[in-house]
Amino acid sequence: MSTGLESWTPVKEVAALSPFGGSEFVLTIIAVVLWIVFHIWQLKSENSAYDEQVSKLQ
Amino acid sequence: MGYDMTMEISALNEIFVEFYYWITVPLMFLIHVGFCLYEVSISRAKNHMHTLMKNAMLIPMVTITMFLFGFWIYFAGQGPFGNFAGGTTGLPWDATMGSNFGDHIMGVFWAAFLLFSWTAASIVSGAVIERIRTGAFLILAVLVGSVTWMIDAAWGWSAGGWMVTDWGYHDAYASGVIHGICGGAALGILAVLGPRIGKFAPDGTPRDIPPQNPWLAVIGLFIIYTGFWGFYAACNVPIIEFDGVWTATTIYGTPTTLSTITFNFLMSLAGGLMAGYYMSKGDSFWTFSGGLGGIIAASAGNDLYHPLQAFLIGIVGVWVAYKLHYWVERKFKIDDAVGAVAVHGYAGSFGVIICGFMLWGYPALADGSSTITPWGQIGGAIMMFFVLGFIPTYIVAKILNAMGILRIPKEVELAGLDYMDNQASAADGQEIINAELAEGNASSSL
Repeated sequence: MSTGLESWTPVKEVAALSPFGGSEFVLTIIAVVLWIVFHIWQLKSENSAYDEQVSKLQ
Repeated sequence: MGYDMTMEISALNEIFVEFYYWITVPLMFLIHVGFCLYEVSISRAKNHMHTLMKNAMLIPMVTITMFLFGFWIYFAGQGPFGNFAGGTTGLPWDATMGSNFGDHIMGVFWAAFLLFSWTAASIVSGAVIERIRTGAFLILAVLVGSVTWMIDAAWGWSAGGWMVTDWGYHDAYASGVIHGICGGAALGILAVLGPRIGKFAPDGTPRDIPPQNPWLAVIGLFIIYTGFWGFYAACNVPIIEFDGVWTATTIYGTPTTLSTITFNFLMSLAGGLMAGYYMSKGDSFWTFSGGLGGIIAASAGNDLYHPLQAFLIGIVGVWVAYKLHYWVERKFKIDDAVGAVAVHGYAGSFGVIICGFMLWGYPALADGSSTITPWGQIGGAIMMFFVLGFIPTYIVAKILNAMGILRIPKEVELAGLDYMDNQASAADGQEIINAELAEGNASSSL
C-alpha cells in the first residue's frame, strides 16, 4: 500500500509529491476553521485577561 | 563531485554546489548566536557568564573532534547492519581533508556537518544549565556532537545506511537524527544530574525559576529560526541528475523541491507557534519554543508533505511535546531548564513516527529498494531517542558523577557560578575609582 508515490521513476511523470492526494480541499476547510477559531479564542482570552487585570487595578 | 572542471558548464555546476553548501554555514552560525542568547537569558543573572562560556566552548571541542574522527565515523559507519568497515574518507590525514586542488568541496561538506554537530551539542547545553560543570558538559558535547549523532547519521541519514536500506527510515530534515537523539541525550544527562536547588518543593511540585531576560530569550529563539533555514538548505542536495531530470534531492537521493521545503518550513512554524501560544496561554517562551517544535515535528517528511499537512503536524507535534514535558517533569522530577527534551526529543520523535503513517509506502531510496513504513519509523525513533540518545549520555554522566566531576558544588550553585568573577570585577572597579579619586585630587592640588 502507499499513501501516495510508490516509485520515483519515471520521474518526468511525477507531479504531486504529497500523500493523500485529493485531500487538499478538506485540509483547506480544516485550516480555515482552525484559523478562525484561533482568532475567536485569542480575542476572548485576551479580553478575559484584561477584565481580570482591571478588576485588580481598581 | 566528479565534475569536469575543464568544461565551463560543469565547472559552474561544481562551483554553484560548493557555494550553496558554503552559504548555509554562516546562516547556521545564527543557530549558535541564538542558542547563546537564549540560554544566557533563561539563566539567572548570577550564572549567565558561565552559561555563555559553557555553550561557546562546545564550538572548539566539537570542531576539533569532528576533524579528528567525527566525520570519519559518518563515512565508515554506512553500510549493512554491523558494518563498520572504515575506509579513509574523513580521516584527518586523508588527501581530501586537507588543502587539495584535486578536491574543491570536502571542507564545505565537513563544515555543513560540523554546524549540525554544534547544533546537536547546543541542544543538550540548554537543558543542563546552572548546575553542570563545564568540563563534564564539554565531554558530553563531544560524545553527542562528534560520535553518537555521526553514528545515527551514518545509519539513518545516508543512502547507504542500514536503517534506510533495511527499515526504510526516512528523516529528511533530521527530526530524529538531530532532534530526537539530542532530546534523548539531554534526558539521559538530566536523569543523573538532578534538578536545580529549589526547583521542586518538598511535596514534589515544580517551581518556576524565572529567566533573567525573557524577551532576549525569545529573540534568541527567533534567531535560531533564521539559522534553521540554513540547516534545511544544507540537508538537501541542490542539483543532481535524476532519471534524466536535474533536480534537488534529499540526502537520500530522493527528489524534492526548494518550493516544497519553503512552504513546509513556514507552515509548520505557523502551526507550532499557534499551538505553543494556545497551550501556554500566550507565554512568550513556550510560544516561540512551539514554533521551533512545529518545524521539528514536521521535519522528517517536510520534503514531501502538503503545506497544510505540515501545518497540522506542527500543531499536533507541539501539543504532544508540551503535554509530555510537564508530565515527565512531575512524574520523574526532571528539571529541563529550557524544555529541550520536549521541543527536540518529544517533537522530533513524534515527527519521525507520524512520517511513517503519512508517507507509508513511499520509496525511501531513489531506486525503490526500501519503503517507508510506520514500523520502520517507530524503530527509528526508538533507536534515535533511546539507543543512541539516552543510553550513551546516561552511562557517561553516571561515570562523570562517580568521579565527582558532573555537578558543581552546592555552595557555588547557591552563590552563583559567576559569584567569584563578579567579586573580582567589583574589586577591580573599586580600585579604579580609588585611583581616579587619588589622581584627580593630586592633579587639582598642582
